Amino acid sequence: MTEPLLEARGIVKNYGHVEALRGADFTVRSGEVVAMIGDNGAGKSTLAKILSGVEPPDSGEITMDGAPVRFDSVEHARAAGIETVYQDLALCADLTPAANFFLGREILRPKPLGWLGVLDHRDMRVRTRDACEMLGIPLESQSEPVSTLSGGQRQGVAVARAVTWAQRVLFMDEPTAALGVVQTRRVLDLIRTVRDSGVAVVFISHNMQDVKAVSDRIEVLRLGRRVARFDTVAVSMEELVGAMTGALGQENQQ
Amino acid sequence: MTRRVTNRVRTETRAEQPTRLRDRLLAAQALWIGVVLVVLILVFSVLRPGSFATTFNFRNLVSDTAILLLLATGQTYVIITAGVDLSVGGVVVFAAVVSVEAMEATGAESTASLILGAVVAILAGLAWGLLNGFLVARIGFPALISTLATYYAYRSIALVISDQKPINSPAIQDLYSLTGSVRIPIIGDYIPDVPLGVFTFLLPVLVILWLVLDRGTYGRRLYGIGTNDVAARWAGLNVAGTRMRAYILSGVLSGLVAVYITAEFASARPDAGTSGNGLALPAITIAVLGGVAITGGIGRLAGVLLATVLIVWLNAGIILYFEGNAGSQFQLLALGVVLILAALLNGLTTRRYGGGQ
Repeated sequence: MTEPLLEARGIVKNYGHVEALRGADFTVRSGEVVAMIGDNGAGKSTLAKILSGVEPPDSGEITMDGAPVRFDSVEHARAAGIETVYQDLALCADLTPAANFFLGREILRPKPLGWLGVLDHRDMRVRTRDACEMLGIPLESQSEPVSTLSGGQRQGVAVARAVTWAQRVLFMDEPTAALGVVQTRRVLDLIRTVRDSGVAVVFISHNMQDVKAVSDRIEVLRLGRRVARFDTVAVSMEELVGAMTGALGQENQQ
Repeated sequence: MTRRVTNRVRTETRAEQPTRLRDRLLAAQALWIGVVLVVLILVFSVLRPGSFATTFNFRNLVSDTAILLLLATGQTYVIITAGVDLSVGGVVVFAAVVSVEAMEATGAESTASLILGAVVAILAGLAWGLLNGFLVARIGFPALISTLATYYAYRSIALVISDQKPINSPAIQDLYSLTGSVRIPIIGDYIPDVPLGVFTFLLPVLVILWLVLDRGTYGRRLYGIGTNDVAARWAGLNVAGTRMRAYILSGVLSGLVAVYITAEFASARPDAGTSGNGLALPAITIAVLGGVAITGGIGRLAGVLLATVLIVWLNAGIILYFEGNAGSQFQLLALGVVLILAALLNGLTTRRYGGGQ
């Protein structure tokens, strides 16, 4: 088994009196798709937010390539090569797809104008369109704000953005929730493509079909802790549901 | 992963169709403002033939336009972040008072003293803008409350410093070449002389601010945090810093306005930015009329520019038309009516085309 790329140990996170995570562990290795599953309130999204730098943990340790890391902000996690597609989309509705795509890392014009911080709209539009077309999301207009797109197209823009920028780990929090059948299949194909290019993918979903279809391993969270780990090929639906609901025992696989 | 996208065949750089719906709508709003403006000028010219185009009147109009345009531009930046800056009147008064104090303390007779006064005014604006930005962006107080509170504070401090009396200094006016007039070549024979400050001062500032907002990275991020600051944070933007700089800019522009007012009137009145209609509310009115969404994320400077001209000419026209005091009372009514109409227009276009919030 290869070294873990990104590993979390004993992550604790409280929101007031709510214990979202009570010593959660998580492991991702390079070139694999890990599904993070669990019932509502198991702490999946919270853990994903902590590992992508959106929120700091109250306690616990995160290591990357074996060395301890701290993600104080999203920039830190991004600099480490971690990208995330968020459940609640995280696009700016009044901006164009290209503006969203390059938000925070805008492309500047070649030198003389670039020094002044002048944006290269054309280059950004072309790249955005290419990335979205790869996902099978044709953008009719590049100049209308994201708010005029359908839910599926918006999700597509968010997915395409994260896929384009991820270097090491890609977190996808319910990336297929707003998508139709065809687009879902494309996203799953894309996840495999991303994995084959060497980037680890963490796939968070409620849809067991999708999980079984795309993941190599499955880690189950329950009440803020990791309770089970499975190899996808060797696990049955019953076992997964049992681990999620607590009918099955504690972490014992592998 | 970036590589894969970059390496994609980019031969098909088919011309990007600039079918900007929102741009067209905003352009439409700008168009409407332009139409109203022309109608207004015609109506007042008919009602009071001759008087509307006099040099004295034109000069006042330009001066009012410069002041309101600078403040409305600052307000535009702040409102795009889904905030508001009510303190600009207080900042202007404070900056003007300390600026004149600084000039008088150094004799008010040399260019050095003049420059010192201008620098002091701008620094004062910067400092108060910094405080506003800190309260709103870093601590997270609501902009409405924070800037209302600081407005009272700045105004009060200005009153204390100036001992509640206007500070007059004719020597200062002589020093300023800013407000002297120049004749524009070629078309200069047909229009009145334009104050020099418009070219040396107002235009450069506006062009830079337009470039920053419309063409640059900072402007892009400003719209981003205004439309969805959670998404902006998740996209790795420095939300607090970006928002804070908008308030700092508003403060600096207020400082510039203080310099302009001091040059124009050769005095710093402690009540200049706070009496009558004040300065903050007209600036906000102009921004909203110019198509800036009060909820943030939408707005461009072209609309704000036209809205400024419209409001200034409307006010001037009303003053000319009505004798005595009635004019200034009708000004407020006109301002209210125009604002409601602008809001109605915004609402219609948003609903019709399903864009926006």
